[in-house]
Amino acid sequence: MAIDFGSVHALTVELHGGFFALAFFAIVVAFICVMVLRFSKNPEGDSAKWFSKVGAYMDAAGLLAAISGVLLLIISAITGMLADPLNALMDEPLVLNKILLSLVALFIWGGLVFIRAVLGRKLWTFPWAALLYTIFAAVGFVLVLTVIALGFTLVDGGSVLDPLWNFFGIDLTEELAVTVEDGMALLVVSIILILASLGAAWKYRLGTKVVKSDPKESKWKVPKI
Amino acid sequence: MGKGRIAAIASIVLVLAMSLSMATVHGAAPSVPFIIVGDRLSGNESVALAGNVSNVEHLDVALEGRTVGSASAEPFVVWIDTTTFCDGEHNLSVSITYNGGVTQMFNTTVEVRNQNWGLGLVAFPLAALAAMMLLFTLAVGMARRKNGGEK
Repeated sequence: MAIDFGSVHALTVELHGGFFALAFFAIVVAFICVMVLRFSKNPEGDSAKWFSKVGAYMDAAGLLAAISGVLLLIISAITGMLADPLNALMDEPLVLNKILLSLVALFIWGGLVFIRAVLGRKLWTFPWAALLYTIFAAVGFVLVLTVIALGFTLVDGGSVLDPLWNFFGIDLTEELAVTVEDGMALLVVSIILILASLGAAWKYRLGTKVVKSDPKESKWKVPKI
Repeated sequence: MGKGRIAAIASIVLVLAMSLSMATVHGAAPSVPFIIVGDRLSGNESVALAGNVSNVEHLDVALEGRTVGSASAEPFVVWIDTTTFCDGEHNLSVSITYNGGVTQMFNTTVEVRNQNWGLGLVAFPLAALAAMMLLFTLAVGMARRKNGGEK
């Protein structure tokens, strides 16, 4: 019996889209909880404890959903390649943009999982890191939505996000690419920044075991769940 | 036949095949010059005349209706800066004017491709990752420094 990879791809796309939506929602709620606690006048009160607990649950849910989303995004990419003969589609700018944006989304969500794994739940006790975590989750979610919309445009000729593209004047058929000079410059700068960041993180021991939370900045007690 | 000889023949065949695939000859005829131009153009590319150019007065080249250059002496070569054209297929017009005022016109379709998708596929995700790592390192590092540098 032949496997219909088109159907499997549709299934995995729904799943990764759903998991990333859950991850984004959970991260936003966790961030709101942390911010409420930060500005709370009574951090020992019942409401503060409630926010603290909800934040902890949402953080865990966000992490698990992000990990599941990353795994399913990889599976989606594989099933997508098996569903359609790749060579026949490689001249389609929509397909090329879909592949490129999928990879950017994968790196962003993968990076978020990595950073959350390194810093642990203490990530939320650093307000700027918590804000960055939420912003990058939003960017990753928008990218995933865009990739799914590109898939719908390929299959059905349009998606529900079409009014949005029209409003912002975004042409989906315009191939996302760089000139060799710009691409090489971007690549070199990126590699230098990644190495510098890793070097600084190693030098200043920003790993989970030695990272010190910021008690002055955050009142979140990192409750056990 | 020795392995070295087979490899040498295979190399010659490969080089010939690559040469033929890189350049297309248009308007080839014994008495008129050849126009040499690639099918796929990027960066600075040339349109050149070869063969019998003794009767040629000047060469004019236009891409998508826009004159990109002309040459009125040997070697008849016109350079095109393709970066000023958007990627995609364009109509290349080559006009050869002979001594006596006779003009011959050739049209062909060439593909301009200066954007590199494959490089973007590597560069964009890495740039996103680099931005993330840098910002998080700064955010946590600054907070830690502010709190007295715990080891």
